[in-house]
Amino acid sequence: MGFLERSRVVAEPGWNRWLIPPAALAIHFSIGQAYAWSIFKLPLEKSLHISSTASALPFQIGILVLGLSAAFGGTLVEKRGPRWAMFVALVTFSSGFLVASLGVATRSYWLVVLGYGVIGGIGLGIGYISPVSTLMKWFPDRPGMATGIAIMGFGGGALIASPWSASMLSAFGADPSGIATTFLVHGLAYAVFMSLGVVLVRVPPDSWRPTGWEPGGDTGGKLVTTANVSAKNAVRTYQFWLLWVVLCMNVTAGIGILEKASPMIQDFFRGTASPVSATAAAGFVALLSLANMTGRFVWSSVSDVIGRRNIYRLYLGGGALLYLAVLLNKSGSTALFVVSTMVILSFYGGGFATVPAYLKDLFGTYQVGAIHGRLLTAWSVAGVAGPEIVDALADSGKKAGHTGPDLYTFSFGLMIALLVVGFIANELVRPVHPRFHEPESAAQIETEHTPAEKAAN
Amino acid sequence: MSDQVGAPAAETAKSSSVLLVVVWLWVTAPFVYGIYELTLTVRKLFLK
Repeated sequence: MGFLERSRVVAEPGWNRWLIPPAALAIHFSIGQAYAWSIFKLPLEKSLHISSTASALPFQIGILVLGLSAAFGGTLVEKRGPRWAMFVALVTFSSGFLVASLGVATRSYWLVVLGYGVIGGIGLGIGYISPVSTLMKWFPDRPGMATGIAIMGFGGGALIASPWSASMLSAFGADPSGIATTFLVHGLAYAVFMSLGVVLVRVPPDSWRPTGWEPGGDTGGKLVTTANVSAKNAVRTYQFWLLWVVLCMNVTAGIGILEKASPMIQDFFRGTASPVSATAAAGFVALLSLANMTGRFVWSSVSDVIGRRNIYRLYLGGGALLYLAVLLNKSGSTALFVVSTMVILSFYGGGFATVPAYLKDLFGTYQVGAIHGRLLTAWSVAGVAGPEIVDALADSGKKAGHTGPDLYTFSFGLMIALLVVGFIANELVRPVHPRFHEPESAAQIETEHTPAEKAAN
Repeated sequence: MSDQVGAPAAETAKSSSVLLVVVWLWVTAPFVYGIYELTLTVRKLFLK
């Protein structure tokens, strides 16, 4: 498989770095489909005669396997290079759909779980981290913007997949045969779409720098290092675990709104002069998706200017204040509610997109993809814990006889507390001790200098 | 600021520009479709 080898993806002279973001987007737009899984839930429940919980399982397993494969596959991704990683993501994500298609066609529910959840989940995890370190090597002057583009793609993937999958189910039918055909077409179409990333991705020659840019001149002061830390050593530093807490708190707080968006806005304005209908609530959910996606690109780009610690102060401190504003706005302005929640969701997306650049600042680019993979376990934890907390608190509020905005008072208060914990964790981040730094020679050997690289220099 | 590796020949620069347009179209076309569909949904929030 010489085509996939790391040494074969070193950019030739004349290669433009703006060819790399589309390569990353081809992968992230595809795997972002995961967030549109709900489109298939009802048709699967009717076709396979399964419960709502069972129809959610392929997605939940997929997100769990995403976290595990990113955490355990990260080092291999760094070693084998981005083309290998994107190819693995293409094969597993697409074949996951094909296996799920077979599962629906044969009425075998567990084959759907195996295909979409387990096999496809590996594609999600490997695909998610595959372009991260490569983008930061191409854009050392704007790492936040570069990874923001890719991770925005993960948010945008659901925007593309939702209407596309729905129209395909309408065309083929929502019966077992129609769903199987839809899955089959998804698998084939995503394989073609992702192949652009596999073919296009390149790593820059090792000593390449954008003209006029020198390492060490970044915003962010002493937190930005020019040294490198391995993934193995990174998890031994307290800075890694502080960032783990920061990400976990930020994600949990965002999920607090995202997961209950539709019933929440209806509850908040029930019985007021401007009640919100279920149809209007669907528009609100769509607006939140847009804010989530836009925040990934906008805020991570801003972090290149104001520094990573400052942008997380905004996400966490600003997020807490906005939650407070929503709490105090009971039965008040719909516009204030919508705008506040949109900004909170933009911070949620921004938190995801900025964290690779924060890791790069602290640990260098040497194994930043692998370190990022390990950090994504915070997402897995928040993804399970966040909805559980919000649902449990809302249910207990209902049992206690609360209605309207009062249903959310306690859960919003808890979200504010979590954001404050994240804010404090962010304040405690300090530069990594030099004892964790890799010797210069070791980091150089790992990047596998080749004659092609030297020629390209 | 140069965005390229090394100094390309004129022919290489031209083909690189064509490639840039094609690959960006590849990823933005479905994205524009998604945004269009999204705006149709968002309108429901304001049209009561």
